[in-house]
Amino acid sequence: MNRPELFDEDFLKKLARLKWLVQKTVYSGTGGEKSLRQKGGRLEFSDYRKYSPGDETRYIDWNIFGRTEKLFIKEFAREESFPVYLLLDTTTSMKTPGPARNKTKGIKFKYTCQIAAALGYIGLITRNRLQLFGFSDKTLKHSPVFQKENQIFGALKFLESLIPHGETHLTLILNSLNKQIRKKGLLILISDLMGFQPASPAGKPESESLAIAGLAPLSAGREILEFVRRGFDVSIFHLLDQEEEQPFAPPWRDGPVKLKDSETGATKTVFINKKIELLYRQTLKQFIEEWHSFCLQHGIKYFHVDTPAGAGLETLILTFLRQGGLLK
Amino acid sequence: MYLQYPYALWGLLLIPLIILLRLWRMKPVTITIPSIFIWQKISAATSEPPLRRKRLLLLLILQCLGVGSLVLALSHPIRSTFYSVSRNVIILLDNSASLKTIAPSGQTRWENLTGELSRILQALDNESRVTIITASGGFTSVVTEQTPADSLKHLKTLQPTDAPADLTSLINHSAGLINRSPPSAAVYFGSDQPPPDNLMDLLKIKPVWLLQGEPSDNSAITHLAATPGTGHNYDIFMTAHNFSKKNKIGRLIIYSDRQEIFSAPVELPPETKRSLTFPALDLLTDTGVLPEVIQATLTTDDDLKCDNTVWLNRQEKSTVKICLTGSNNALLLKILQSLPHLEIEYFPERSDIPNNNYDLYIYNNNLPDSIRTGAQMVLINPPDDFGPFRIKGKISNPQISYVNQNSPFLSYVDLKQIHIWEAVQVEILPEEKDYFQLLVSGSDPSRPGQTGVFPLIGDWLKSDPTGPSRIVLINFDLTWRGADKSATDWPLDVSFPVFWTNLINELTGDRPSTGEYAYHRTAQPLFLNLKDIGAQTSRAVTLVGPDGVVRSLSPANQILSFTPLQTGLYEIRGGAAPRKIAVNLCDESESNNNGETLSSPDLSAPMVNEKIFTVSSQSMVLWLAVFGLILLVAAWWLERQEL
Repeated sequence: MNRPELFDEDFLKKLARLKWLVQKTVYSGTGGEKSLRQKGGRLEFSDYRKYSPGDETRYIDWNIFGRTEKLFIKEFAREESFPVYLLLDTTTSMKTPGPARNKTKGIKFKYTCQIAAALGYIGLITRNRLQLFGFSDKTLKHSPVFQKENQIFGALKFLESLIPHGETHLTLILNSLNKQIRKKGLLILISDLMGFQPASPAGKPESESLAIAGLAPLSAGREILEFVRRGFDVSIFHLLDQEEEQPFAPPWRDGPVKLKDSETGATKTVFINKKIELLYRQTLKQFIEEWHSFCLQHGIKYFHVDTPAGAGLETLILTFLRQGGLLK
Repeated sequence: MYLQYPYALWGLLLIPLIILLRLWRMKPVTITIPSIFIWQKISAATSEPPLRRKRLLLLLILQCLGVGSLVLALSHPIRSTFYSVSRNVIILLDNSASLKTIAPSGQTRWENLTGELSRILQALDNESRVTIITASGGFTSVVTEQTPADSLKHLKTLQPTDAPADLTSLINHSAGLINRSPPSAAVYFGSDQPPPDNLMDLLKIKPVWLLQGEPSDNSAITHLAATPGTGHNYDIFMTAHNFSKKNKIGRLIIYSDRQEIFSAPVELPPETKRSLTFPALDLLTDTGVLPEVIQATLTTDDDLKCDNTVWLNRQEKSTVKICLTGSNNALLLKILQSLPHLEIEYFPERSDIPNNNYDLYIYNNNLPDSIRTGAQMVLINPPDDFGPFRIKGKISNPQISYVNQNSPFLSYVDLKQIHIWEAVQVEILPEEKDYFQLLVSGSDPSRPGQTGVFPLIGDWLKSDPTGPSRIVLINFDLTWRGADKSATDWPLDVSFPVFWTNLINELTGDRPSTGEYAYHRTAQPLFLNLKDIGAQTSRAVTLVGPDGVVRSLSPANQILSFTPLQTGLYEIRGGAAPRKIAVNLCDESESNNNGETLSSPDLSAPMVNEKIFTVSSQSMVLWLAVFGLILLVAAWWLERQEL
C-alpha cells in the first residue's frame, strides 16, 4: 500500500501536483532575517516588483521596460525544504455534535483528520518535513517527524490514534508548542476555536480560569502572533459543523432549551425563538469575522471550513486552499 | 340548553392533553453542544422573557377555551329561551249535522258549543292567535291565526252543515298544524262525539274536549225496531245503554201516537248495553188506528232526553220496480238485489223489455232506443251517442268529478277513494246539457272542466213536457272486473251500495225514512214523491218539525226533499193525510256514549288565563365553532409573536 486508502487515486494525483505557496518570510532559528526563497536549491521565477535603487540590474526585465518604459525586477524563489506543523484540536467539542452524526469520533474530528491527512500528504510529497500535533486538555501529543512520502502511513496511524476528549486550553497549548518547536516553518492549526477570541474583549481581563468556567472568552491571538513573530507561516482552519451554524433543527425547538457544553459540562438554559435564532447566527458570524479580520491583519491564512455533507474535501484542498494562498 | 350529541363531550379530554403538552413544552430539553461559547455572548438576550409565563398561561387558556368551544359545537348544543308569547289557540270544531240536535236545555248542541267557545275566545288577550278548523265533509280552515275578536266574529257566522263529521280528516290535518305550533298551543276540540283513540294519538297535545253532549252519567236508547206479529201485535226490539258507572233502574214507556201503551221497569247495569225485547205488544190505540210512529222513552234521572227517546216509523216501504238491461250486469244485479224493497227485472237484450212502467231503467253498457216519457234512467258507460250527448273518445285514468256536488244522495259517498281505469269522454251539447243530471263522471285530468263538471241547472228533460224524466249519466263502467282495466274499483268501496240506495231513492221518490228499522237520522236527506203522499201541488206541502215550527218546502217538480236536523217527530202536511216521520240521532256514536265533559279535570292544555311561555330553540353550533376557531387562531397568532 503505497498510497493512503483515505483518498482515491485521482485525488492523490491531484494532491501530488500541489505545492506549498509560502509567501511570508520566516525567521531562521539562528541567523538574521532571510527569505526562504533566497536559500539554496533550484531558482524559480516567482514575481515582479518595481525597481529600487541598489537592485541588481541583471534582473531587470527589459522586455517590460520596452513596452512600458518602467523598470521591473524579476524575482526568483528557490524551492526549500521546510517543516510543516499540523496542530489538531482533539478536544471533546470536535466530536460534537454527537453520535447522531458520527457514531465514534464525530464528523468534525473526522473531517479534521481528513484535512490533516491531505495536507500531510502534500507536505511529504513536496519533500517537506511533517510533524503532527494533537492537543486536548493541557496535553500536547506529537508525532514523529515524517520526511518521506511513504511515511504518510505513519502520519495516518498517528491520526487514527487521536481520540477527541477533554477541554480546550489553546493558549497553554500554543505557548507550549512555541517552546517545543525551534525550526520555523508552516504551522497549520485546525480547530473550532470555541471559547477563544483572537483578542480579549475591551476592558475585560484575560483570565483562563474565567474562560474555562464559561464566564469569559479567552484570547488566543497573542500566542498565535508569537509564531508569526518568529517567522512561521501560520494558517488557521476554523472548522465548524453545520449543526453549529444552523443548530435549530429538532430536537431544538422554540421555548426553553437547556444547553450543555460538551467540554466543560456547563449548562445554560436559553429560550429559543426566531429572534434568538437570528441573534445566534449574527453572533457566530461576528465571531468568525473577528478571526478572519485578525488573520488578515497579521498575514495569517484563515480558512473557515464547514464540515461537508458530502465530498467537500476535494473542493476544499483543490479550490479553496489554492484560492486562499496556501497551495498552488 | 341541552346537547343533541352529548357523547361529543368526550372530546373535552383534549383539554388535559393540551395542558400536558404545554407543560411538556415548558420543560426545557437538554441538548449537548460543542460549546456554549456563542450562547454566552448572547446571554442577556436568551434569558427568559419577562412576559413569557403570562403569555404561556394566556396561550393555554386560549387553546383550552378554543378546543372546548369546538367540542361543544360538535355536541350540537341547543339553547332554549323561554319567553312570553301570544297564545296560539287551535280550535277543532265539529260542525256536522248532529250538532243541530237540540239538547234538553232548548239550545242546539252547536249553540252550546259556540257559546262555550265564545267565552274562551273572549277570555283570550288580544295577542293570542286563533285558528279554527271545522270538520264536516272533510276539513276547512275557516280562521287562520287571527285575533280572538276576529275569530269570534267568524265563529258567529259559522253554522253546522248537513254533512257528517269527517273527524279522520280533521285530526290528520290538525296533527300537522298542531305539531308545528309551539308546545304552549292550546287545542280545543269541540264535538259531540269522541274521535277515534288512534287518531287522538296523532295529536301530541291532548286537546281540551268540549263535548256538547250531556254529562256522562246517562243512559240512552240507540236502537228501536218493530216487526208486525199477528193482528195488531208487534214485537218491539230496542237497545238501551247505561253509560254511567252506576246501576240504573228506569222505566221504559212505549207510546203509540203519543198514547202510552206499555210501561215497564228496566234495570241497566253499569256501563252495559242491553237488548230489550217486548213481544206481542198491541199497538192499537184508543182510536183503534195503528200508529204511524212508535215512541219509546227510557225515563231515568238523566239529562239527555233526546237520547232517551227514540221514534220509529211503522209504515211499510213501497217496492221500487227497476228494469236492468245491458251487458256485464252480474255484479250490479247482485248488489241491487241486496238492497231492500227493490223489485228488479233483468233483460239481457233491450228488445226484450216489455212495455211496462218501471220506476227506474238502468242501462248498463247499453242505451235505450229512445227516451221514455216520464221514465227515470241511469245510463252507465254508454257505448254510443245518445240524445243530447256525444261520445268524443276514451280517457285513461280519469279524475273523478261530481256534478251537482250538493246533491243529497251523494252524502256518505267519498268518490276520492275510487279509481277508474277508463271512461267514455262525453260531451253534452251546451244547449241541451240541462236535460241531464250527470252525477258521477270521470274527466280528463289534462283537460279539467271540459267534461262532466258543469253544474246541474235543471233536473228534467225539457223535451218531455207531459211527464218529467231524469237521466243520470255515468260515463264509466261501474262493474268491477278485477284485472280488467276498463272497469272501476268502486264496487269494492262501502259507498257503492250507499250510492245506489240514495240514487234509487232520489229517482224514485222513495221514503228512506220508513222501513223495517225505520231509523231515519238527522242530517240524512229525505225524499218524498208527491204522489206517494197524495199531494196535488208542492206548494200545499208543509213540514212541522219536532219543535212545532211549520216550514214550507220547495219541491223540484214531483220530488220533495228536505234534511231533518233535529231528532223527534216530523209531520208532513198537505197530502191526503198527515205523514209522520221519525228522526233520531245521526249516528249511534253521536249519542252521548262516553263520559267526557266540558270541564274535563284532565286538562294538559294551558288554562285560558295562564301566562304562556314558549321555548325558542336555537342551535349554537355556528357561534361556538366560530368562537372556538377565533380563539385557536388568536392562540396561533400569539404563539408566533416574539417577546
